[in-house]
Amino acid sequence: MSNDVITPGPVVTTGPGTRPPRWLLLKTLVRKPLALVTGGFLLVIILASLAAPLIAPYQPTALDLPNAFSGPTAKHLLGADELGRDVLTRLLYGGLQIEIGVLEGILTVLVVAIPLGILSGYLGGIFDRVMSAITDAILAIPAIILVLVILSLFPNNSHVSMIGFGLLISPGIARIIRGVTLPLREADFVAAARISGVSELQIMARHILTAVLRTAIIQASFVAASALHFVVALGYLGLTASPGQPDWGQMVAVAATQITSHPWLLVPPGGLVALTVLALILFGNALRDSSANVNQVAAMAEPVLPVGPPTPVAPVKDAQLPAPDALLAVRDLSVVFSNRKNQTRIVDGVSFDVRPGETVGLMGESGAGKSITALAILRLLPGAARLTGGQVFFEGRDLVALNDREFDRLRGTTLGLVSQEPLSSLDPTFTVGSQLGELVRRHDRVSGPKLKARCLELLNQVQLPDPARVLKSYPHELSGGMAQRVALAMALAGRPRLLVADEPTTALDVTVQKEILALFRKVQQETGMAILLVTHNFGVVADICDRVFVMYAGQVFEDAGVYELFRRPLNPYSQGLLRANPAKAQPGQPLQVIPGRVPSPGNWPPGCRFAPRCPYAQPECTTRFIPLVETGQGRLSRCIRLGELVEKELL
Amino acid sequence: MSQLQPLLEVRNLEVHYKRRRSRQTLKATDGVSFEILPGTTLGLVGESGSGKSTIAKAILGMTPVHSGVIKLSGKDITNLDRRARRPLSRNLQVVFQDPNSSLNPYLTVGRTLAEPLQAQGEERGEKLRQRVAEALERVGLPHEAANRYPAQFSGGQRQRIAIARALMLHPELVICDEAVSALDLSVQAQILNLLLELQKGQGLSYLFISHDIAVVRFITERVVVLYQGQVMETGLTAAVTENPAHPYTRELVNSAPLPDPQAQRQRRAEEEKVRAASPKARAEVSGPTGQGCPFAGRCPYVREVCRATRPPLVKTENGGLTACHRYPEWKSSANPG
Repeated sequence: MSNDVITPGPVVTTGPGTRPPRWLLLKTLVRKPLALVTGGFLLVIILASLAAPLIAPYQPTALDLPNAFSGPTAKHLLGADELGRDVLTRLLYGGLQIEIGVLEGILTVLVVAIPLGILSGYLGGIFDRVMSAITDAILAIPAIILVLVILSLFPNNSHVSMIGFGLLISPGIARIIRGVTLPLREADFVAAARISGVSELQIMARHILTAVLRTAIIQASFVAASALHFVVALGYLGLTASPGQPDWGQMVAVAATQITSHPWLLVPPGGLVALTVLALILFGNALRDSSANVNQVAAMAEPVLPVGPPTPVAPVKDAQLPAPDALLAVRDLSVVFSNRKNQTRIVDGVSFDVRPGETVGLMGESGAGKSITALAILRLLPGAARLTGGQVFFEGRDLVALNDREFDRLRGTTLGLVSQEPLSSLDPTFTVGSQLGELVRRHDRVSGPKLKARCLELLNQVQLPDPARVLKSYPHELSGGMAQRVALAMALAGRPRLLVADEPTTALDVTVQKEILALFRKVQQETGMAILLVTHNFGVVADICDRVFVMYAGQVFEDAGVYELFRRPLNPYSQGLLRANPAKAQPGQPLQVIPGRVPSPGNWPPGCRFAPRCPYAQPECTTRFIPLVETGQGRLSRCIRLGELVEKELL
Repeated sequence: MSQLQPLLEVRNLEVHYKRRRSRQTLKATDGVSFEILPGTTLGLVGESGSGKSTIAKAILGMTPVHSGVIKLSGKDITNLDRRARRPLSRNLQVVFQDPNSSLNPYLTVGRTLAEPLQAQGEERGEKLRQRVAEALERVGLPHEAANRYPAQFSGGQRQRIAIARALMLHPELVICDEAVSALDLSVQAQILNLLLELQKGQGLSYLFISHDIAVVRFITERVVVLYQGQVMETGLTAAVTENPAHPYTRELVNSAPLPDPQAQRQRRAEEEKVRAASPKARAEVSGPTGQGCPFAGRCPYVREVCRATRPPLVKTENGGLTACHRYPEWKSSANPG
């Protein structure tokens, strides 16, 4: 029964730099100099105090009265105290007690705070409310007074007092753990586990605990810092030290009484405490930062960025398209995404034209580079991405050569943008009227009734019912379709000649999508503007585009008029995509699929980037650069076997 | 209809959500009924707010049911508590939309897949590892995948893993809640094929929830069209999509653009003609009417009766049901004026 179905699987491709997340935290941590220095310092302190009997130059109680209060000398490297006892020796011997105290504090916190935090976050309800009330009450108790009470019951017992300290700190930490747990309660993987019959206890122990552990470890280093302060303070007050025994707090206390006559005495113990606390806090920060990196890595759809040799960042010459009448002409556009180590090409020598009044589609799957291409034209590339080559001509003028000021003048008036998330382009704290008005004021330099009239005209143009009310609304009061209409009105405020629309209907319901596409068509008829539409949806392309550029792995693979493309795709990739579309398939019959998946940027195969997935690939496809060539009727295709495939009627 | 006992039976399902501020209750689903026969696929299709995911949650026990009955293999599973639901995991499983959030990033794929078996106290040690390897093979992934973490897989591969998990206990019914919506076209086709193959090989039934009418048409035999928590139309998928018996279904089907510019432009031209012919175009939206048809506010064919009373489900010519007062007129002409 279980072996009935065996499907040919795609190859699992994992980035060579990927490691299980568990060790990822350690790995990223080791790469941080700050973590190395502070962690190393803490390790040395711990090892030294453990090895105190072996490495200390004297006995901790050995007196050397002639050298009392000596500063640092060859005999007493860190000086000697009021009885001539060696300061270094006493620091070494006193360390262990401090470390045990800190450890007791941390363990108490972890043992108490993690279960409580998980329980109140996961179970919620009454348990959570009771916990929250108890937390508030405990946070209101002054810690030192409680510990003084504990110490009067258990005199000189530092263990009990550190456990008491841990209990006092726990509610705050439990609150943090609860905060991490809350969203996990609703996570799909928790729901899936529950549906698989996993008990609540197991879910908490397996799914929630693994996820909060990282937070707990980070918090532990901060807890350690305050626990250290606390242990030293108890020693300073003489609450836990037995007379004569080496104790950091006592050493500080004695030094404090001699501060005017022998100031050096305070330097070794005080400095050590300060440095250790600082190291703990900085180590905690480093832990937190590398944990954030790890989460980013885990959240990324693709494995870690490729190691290996970077894609050559040299311009690749493609067939130059003739374009005397183009409104927008993009030539050899290349975008590189760089982080500290790698440069990864995401758009690679893309060229295309948009003529006045034309709607051009940039079509492709995720990772094709279509959105980045559009954003590069508008100079809206995300931080790590950079334009590394190519030109963008608008009516013959090279936009890439413009400085930021000159380019800003084109925004809105020449180039408009509508994005996938219309709400993200609206400021939630201002009304539609004030945001739209600002744009109109900027473009038309009008005010008062004229301004309002133009705003209403724009909202009418995008067919919003009751424009006067929309002007007074805040963005959150708009539905998705209305918000997209408002975003379009804002883009139209400067009467752009080219509208760049990046997946404008992807987040919308189909009935709303239909209305928005119809609106684009109407506005285009009225204004004659050209539209550059980025989309992954063949239906949208078929509905609105005149011309299509099919992109794959950062390159244009095919360029054709929309009718020609759908009638007869002249590239194996376009053909495969069209055939994989369930809309045209026979219900219940297997779809013709493209095997494998889109290679991530940086993992592009040599030669034709589609070759590993192409049913017609031959060895020659993978050995050399495949150019985009003309195929007649103004079409372009990137395939060296094109003539042959057309002849055999495979394309 | 068949004499087979339905695998899943949902009768008059009502799920209410309380709005925190206004203390109003919102009917997320309102009197929804359908059934799934063994080895078949039923589609739930509708736009956001149609209640399709709420129905999945109600069946899976993730949200309380206000009224109505849900039966799995004849057994009433409505509002069972968590303990009583645990044995159901052998019959009923789910694949969620987003493979990024449906797999625990901190667990290896192997541990995630072993979990359902461990929870049921089945298998351990070598046997368990073997079952995991078999499951991976079934969805077209190599055995080594068990030692890796979800972050090391692509979205399509993660969805395969989620499907493998759903099949660990050999359930009879798998709920696919927008299971292919987040995937790229080429990957979506792979997963659809995988679902079809698994169904053929193991006699699985699917409750396939999607907003994408093309996908629903491809993979389901029967379909329920939902709008604002109510059933607008049900029937054989081919009949419902070819020949809608409800204005909403028609709008839904016609809204998804065809991946064929010629056909798409033709359809637009026809719609233009229809609109020009009926000058009394779309009635202005007057908000939800409460008692009437939920679609009345948007319906081009709305009459007074539509706002006043909720239309009952009536039999259609091709064996389905439709909730439209004007269906008798539809029957005679393709376009009631």
